[in-house]
Amino acid sequence: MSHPSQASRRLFLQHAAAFGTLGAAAPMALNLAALGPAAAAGAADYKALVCVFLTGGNDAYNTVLATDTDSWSLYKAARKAGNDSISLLKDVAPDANAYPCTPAWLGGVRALQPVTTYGRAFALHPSLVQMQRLFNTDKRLAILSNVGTLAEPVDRATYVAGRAKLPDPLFSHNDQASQWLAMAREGASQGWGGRLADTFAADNGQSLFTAVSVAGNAVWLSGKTVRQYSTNPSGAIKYGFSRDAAGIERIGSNVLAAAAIKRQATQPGTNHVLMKDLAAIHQASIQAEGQLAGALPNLESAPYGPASVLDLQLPGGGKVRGGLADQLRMVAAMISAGQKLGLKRQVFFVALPGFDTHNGQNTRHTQLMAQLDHGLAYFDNVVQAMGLGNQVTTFTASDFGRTFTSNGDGTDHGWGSHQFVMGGAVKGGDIHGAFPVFSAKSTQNNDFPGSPDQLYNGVLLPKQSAVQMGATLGRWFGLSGTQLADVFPTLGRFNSADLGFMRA
Amino acid sequence: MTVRSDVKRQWYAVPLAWGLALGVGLCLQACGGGGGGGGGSAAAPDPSGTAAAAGSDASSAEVARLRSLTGVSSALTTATSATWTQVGPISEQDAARFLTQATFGPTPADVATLKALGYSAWFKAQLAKPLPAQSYVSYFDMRNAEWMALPGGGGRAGATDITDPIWRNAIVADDQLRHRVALALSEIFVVSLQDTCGNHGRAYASYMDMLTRNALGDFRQLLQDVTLHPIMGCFLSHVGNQKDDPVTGRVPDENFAREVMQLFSIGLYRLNLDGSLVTSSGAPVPAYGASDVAGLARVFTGFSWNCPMPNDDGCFVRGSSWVGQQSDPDMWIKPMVAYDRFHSMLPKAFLGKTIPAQDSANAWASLRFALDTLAAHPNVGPFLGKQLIQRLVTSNPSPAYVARVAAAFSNSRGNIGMTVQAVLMDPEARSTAAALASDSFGKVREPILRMTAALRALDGRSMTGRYMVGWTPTPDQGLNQAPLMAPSVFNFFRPGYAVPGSLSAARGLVAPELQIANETAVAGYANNIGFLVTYGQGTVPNFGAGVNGVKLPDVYLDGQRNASSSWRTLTDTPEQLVDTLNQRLMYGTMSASLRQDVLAVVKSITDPHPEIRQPDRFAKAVHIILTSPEFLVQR
Repeated sequence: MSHPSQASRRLFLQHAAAFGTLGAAAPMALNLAALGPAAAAGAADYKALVCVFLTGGNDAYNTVLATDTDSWSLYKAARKAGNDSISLLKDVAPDANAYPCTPAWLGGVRALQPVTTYGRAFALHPSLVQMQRLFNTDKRLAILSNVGTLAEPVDRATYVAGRAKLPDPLFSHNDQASQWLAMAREGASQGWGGRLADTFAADNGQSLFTAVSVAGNAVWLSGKTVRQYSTNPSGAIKYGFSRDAAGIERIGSNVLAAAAIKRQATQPGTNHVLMKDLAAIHQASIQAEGQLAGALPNLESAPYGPASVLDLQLPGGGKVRGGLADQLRMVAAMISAGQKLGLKRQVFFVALPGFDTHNGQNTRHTQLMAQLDHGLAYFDNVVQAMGLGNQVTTFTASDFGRTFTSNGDGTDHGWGSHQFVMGGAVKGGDIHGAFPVFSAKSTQNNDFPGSPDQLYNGVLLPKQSAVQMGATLGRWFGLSGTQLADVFPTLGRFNSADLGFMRA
Repeated sequence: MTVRSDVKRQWYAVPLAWGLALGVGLCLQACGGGGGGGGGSAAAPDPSGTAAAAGSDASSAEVARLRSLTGVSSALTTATSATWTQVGPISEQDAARFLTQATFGPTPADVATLKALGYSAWFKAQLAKPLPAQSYVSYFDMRNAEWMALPGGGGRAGATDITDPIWRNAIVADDQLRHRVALALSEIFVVSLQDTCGNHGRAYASYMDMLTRNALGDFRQLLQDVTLHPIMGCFLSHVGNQKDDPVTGRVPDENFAREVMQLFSIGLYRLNLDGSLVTSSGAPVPAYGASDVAGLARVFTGFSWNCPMPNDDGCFVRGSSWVGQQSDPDMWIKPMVAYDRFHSMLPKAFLGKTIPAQDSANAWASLRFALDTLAAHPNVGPFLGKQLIQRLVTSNPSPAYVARVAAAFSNSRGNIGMTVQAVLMDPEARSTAAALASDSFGKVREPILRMTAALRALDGRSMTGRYMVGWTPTPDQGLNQAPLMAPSVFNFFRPGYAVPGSLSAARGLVAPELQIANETAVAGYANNIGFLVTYGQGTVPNFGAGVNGVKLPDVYLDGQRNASSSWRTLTDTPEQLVDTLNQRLMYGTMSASLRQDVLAVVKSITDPHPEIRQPDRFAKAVHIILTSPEFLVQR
């Protein structure tokens, strides 16, 4: 395709024309076509950014562990409490006779060999088998240490004194997830994934597939002009009618009924805003399905399938097909479709729920880690097979980290956490950002006064901001400093706009 | 529009004393109950024997005490409220529109009843109806027995054996208001079958029984029954939650303490009576902080399953004694009980109040104080009231509307039935002319309510009589929603959700139900409707006639499957068919455009064989309407 951008624009216009008059009910992205190429960045290459959201607040303390003697003893002291100890082990083989998913059954944590050691030693959760390889051997996986939602840099004393400007409300699932993804509490209308993609909307011919969720509605994907397209792990769903060989839509044999359903679903005969908003979703659904029908690859064929590669034997029993890998397969397929349609930039959102491990943490977290490990490794294989190993960057985010302390068999809501970044453009095999210092618990209460990084119950005070992380990814995506400052208005409050985990 | 209403209406300012007097009268009928709910109604006594009994069967003195604590603010006593007063007969349109808000959708019979009774007597009749004859637990047990009796040891009852009777009540029960409010409450006080606790299906059935029992009763009682229900204990992990251990640093689980404030009672920020945020220097004022959560978390320690050997720690830890493995077969439907030896004795400070250190642990005393404090918080009225408005009437109520409902909550001492009545009888809800003139009033019908409205309006039938609507939560081929199957405690959708990039968001409007509308879900819904109008909906029973050897789903529209249905002959007068569908499904608000399209399609179907022509006309007409935004938005 010599002029993919033009080709996709023609395709887009064809489909837009099929809807007749584009009224106010047209999706935002369609309306913008009339405004001309306002923000063309002239991207020549292809890049995709994939957010893997660990819904519920991942326990960073049991995901990336500091295993040097001092750190380890403080970790063990904090987490030994309870009838169902949640403190992992090191330097032990799995005990097959132990109760499934307990630390003894899992065996020791998996050692990391980061470039930067901070004079300490590190490891991953025992279930992160392939991620250990991606980090140590392939150098395609990096860790961002103690990153979190921040309104400005905050030190412990300022926080304890109640003088810090905070990304309120802390510890609330939905609000902190929104702070991560949209830099505002719940109710935000734009997320930074969509805002990054705004810059390339013209290069993409205003395609609906610029920002794609395989996990329901996600504010991260909504920009000023870009709106999210939500798809199923198995692909786009036909809207109530079939299409014959000539492309004519019908219900059974009834062409008139199909046209009436489509017209009424997309062009309500009223001015009611909720009806118009629904109509815009209907229109995007029908339009996208039509475009994807010829663009999506066969999901069963290599490198996306066969479906059996999605199977995962869960530690402790049970088998899942799907989950995270299933969503990521659709991301890979949409990347392929995006290439076929001439897109230059895409942002994707997938989610793995269940991280709110207040109880039963050993089993729950172990199985979630296994799914994360399986999903990321699967996706990295597929992306490399597609020849896009350096052009797709995947990162994790989560509501918040969790407490250092145990409530007996689980952990409560925290703040800072560690995140993963994966891909050939990532400075892999390293931990970026100073790893938090651990302290002993106060003898008086559950404060951890000996650490500049730990708050009450050992909650991590973030030292790197989600905004800085987003800006670092945004710079790789192709935004200028000015554009980044526009997307991340608080960026200037932090000492660096680039956390250095991406290759230049 | 084919239905017009010329009845004159007036707005009256009515002193709240009138509403209060009415409220007490209604409450005597509505709130004396208990008893139903499949065995889950009575709280087991504190096993230590030292605390007073409390629970659903609390004495009337206890009920009065609780009520006296709920949401009373001196500032409210001077407030007045505008209450809708019906002048003249209720029009067909007004009746259908009211029933769209107050029930699972109008039926011709219910429209006639409402018109005959008037609003006030309708409420009185609804509030007087007894609890359902068959509880959800008894249905679940019945289904479980049926499953187990299947050849080869069969199976066990599952999720649809919990949701099917919820659908059934929604579609055919005559105590519509109770069930409609119970569904709304299930989307505020959320537990979910999608959680690992979903293995305990009977507990979810019991939880829905509990919400149904409390749906028109006291908020304070509801809050307690929610708190002590073992499935909530499992879902938000406070069952078996232990006190602090100062030696090891173990802390109480904070999960329930946080969510009971954020989601079940007061919300994140201090609210004015009209639901707006209290601000300080331009910033919202938090209703609580981390220390309040930590303090309240100590309250919710020491509660666990009902168990025959409460002095055996196994009962507390896992609901079964270490010695002899004794457990209560009803442990998942009986309220949790107190195990004082696991209850924190430390001071418990939250929301400006402190439960002092206890010399001997008293979990019940702590719990009662905490729930009294939450229920009396001035946020509850606007917080709960606004959400009830959003569930029943409109996504974006005016502040004055919220304030009137919040005042009704307060003046009824936290009675949900009275609050719901204020929601539905507010001038903003009742003024059809104003609502239909607005380009934003109303709400998107959530998928559950679309299906119930269709089945009620179009004579939905069930081969089994059980209305086995079946598995509906999948987005690509179902409704993307099913009762009790929210993805998390944050429900299917949030009250403050605004669609990014939308027209409504640009005007500062929220659209909660659109959080589960996306390109996949709207197509899945359209396909579901296509299936409904062609074959039916839900589980396929292992009996009944099929079509071409294909067995049909249990639930169907009369006009779709019944050759002698009056809907069939109606299709031969297309204008009358469209008028009837307009009145039944859209209280007469169909646009000329929609009407024209339906008519054109119906008239184009001209097969000479009535058994082919008539169901096809019916199916296509219904299909177009049920997927149109005009139907999908309730005004």
